Formats: sequence, structure tokens, C-alpha cells
Amino acid sequence: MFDLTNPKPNFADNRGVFFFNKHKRDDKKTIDEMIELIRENKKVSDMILNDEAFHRSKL
Amino acid sequence: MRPFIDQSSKKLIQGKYIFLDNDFLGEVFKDEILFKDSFDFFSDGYPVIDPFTQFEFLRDVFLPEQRILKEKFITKEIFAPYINHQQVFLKLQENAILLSKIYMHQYQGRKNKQKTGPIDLLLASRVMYHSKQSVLVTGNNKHFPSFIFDVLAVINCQESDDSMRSFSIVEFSHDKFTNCYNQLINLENKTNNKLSSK
Repeated sequence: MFDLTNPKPNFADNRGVFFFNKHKRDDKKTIDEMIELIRENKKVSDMILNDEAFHRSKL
Repeated sequence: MRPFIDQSSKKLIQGKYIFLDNDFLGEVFKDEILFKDSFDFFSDGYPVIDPFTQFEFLRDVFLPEQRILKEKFITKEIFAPYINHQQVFLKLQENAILLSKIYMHQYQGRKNKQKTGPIDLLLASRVMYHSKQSVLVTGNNKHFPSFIFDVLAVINCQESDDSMRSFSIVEFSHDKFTNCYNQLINLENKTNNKLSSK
């Protein structure tokens, strides 16, 4: 029973919480894709910062 | 940003789930060098994005182009999947209110009292819940204070204006928590005794 007026500490028993404990990752490919997303984000951010026409178009 | 990371502390996070606070995730999404160096450092662990951090990361995005990029970024397989379950959430709520009581109790009498927001309290409660196997990367230690958390390592970054910014890798300390919890219980018992004697 959970009671916010009388809370007790809760700790996981470390079973069944993270479903993919040995999660397989293709790190090199994923990292390259994520770097590409960061570069795209930078382009969008620079456009927001620098492009007055862009700001006017949103008014 | 130019990050400086002590590689000898890599072993401290080996095999652990590495929760990322939104301030760190936001910086990583802006800077590919910080992203590459820090995720290389995390390679022996499992970076995880908590659902509350995901909410913070995705909210208040003005442009659809940016929203799509953010959504693609946080759904990459490099992040271990975290299942959001209501039974766990009930436990987290209980941890979060308990932590907020401890924070306020410990901050009594201090000059710089910190008020920690609900998202950081819930994130702290998640790290507490998974404390045996988790760490957290944050740029704001005041929301994950030293009377509960231990700093394991620090990622220092030199910014473009030459100022330095730090992100800490913190771990929940059972000993520190037990000490604070006992102090809180003693205070509550004294208060209850006073009230019942009136």
C-alpha cells in the first residue's frame, strides 16, 4: 500500500525492471547517425538565431 | 565545447545504467564533440533516458523540424529502453515525497536553500530506486545534493567563450540516505509526541 502521507523508501530488487539488460547496440552506426542529427539541429538553431526573415515569417 | 574527462574513472560506471539529466542531454544534442567523447566514456555502461527527462527534453519545442530531430535523437538504440510501469511509478512518487522532506529538513538553517522541482525529485527518486546499478549525469548538483549523493566523476567542458562548465556523475549513497532518513524520523516522532501530549 502506498501512502504519500507516510512515505517509506522503495528500492528495486533488480529483476525485471530493465527488460534488455544486455541491450545490443550497433554503436558506430548509431553514433554516426546521431552526429548527423546534432549537425542538422545546429543548422536549424543557427537559422533561428540569424535569419531575420525567418522570424518575420513566424510573426 | 571541449570536454576533459578523467578516463581512469570509467571503471566506476562499468555495467551501470547511466541516467542523463535534461541539462546534460540538451548540451549533448547541441555539441557533437561532447556527445562523442562522453558516449565513448559511457561505452562500458548503459545510457538511459528516464521518461521524465524525455518529457523535459521534448517540451516547449517551437519548430516542427527541431521536434522531429529531437524525437529521432532520443529514440536511438544507444539508449537502453526503460519500461514505464504504473507499479514502479507509485514507488517513485513515494520516494520523491520522502526525498523532498529530507531535502527541506537538511536545508534548514542553511543560507542557500534550494527548491528542487518535481521532475528532478522524480529523477532523484528513480536513481534512488535503482541505486544498486545506476548513476546520474547532471549539471546541477544542488538538485542531487551531497547529503544524499556521492560524486563519482566530473566531465569538465571548455565553452566557446573560454568559460568552464561541469557535469557530475553522481551515485545514490545508502549510508547518507539512512542517516538523513533517521534524522527525519526522529524529528517526526518528536513532533508527533508533542502533538499527542497536548
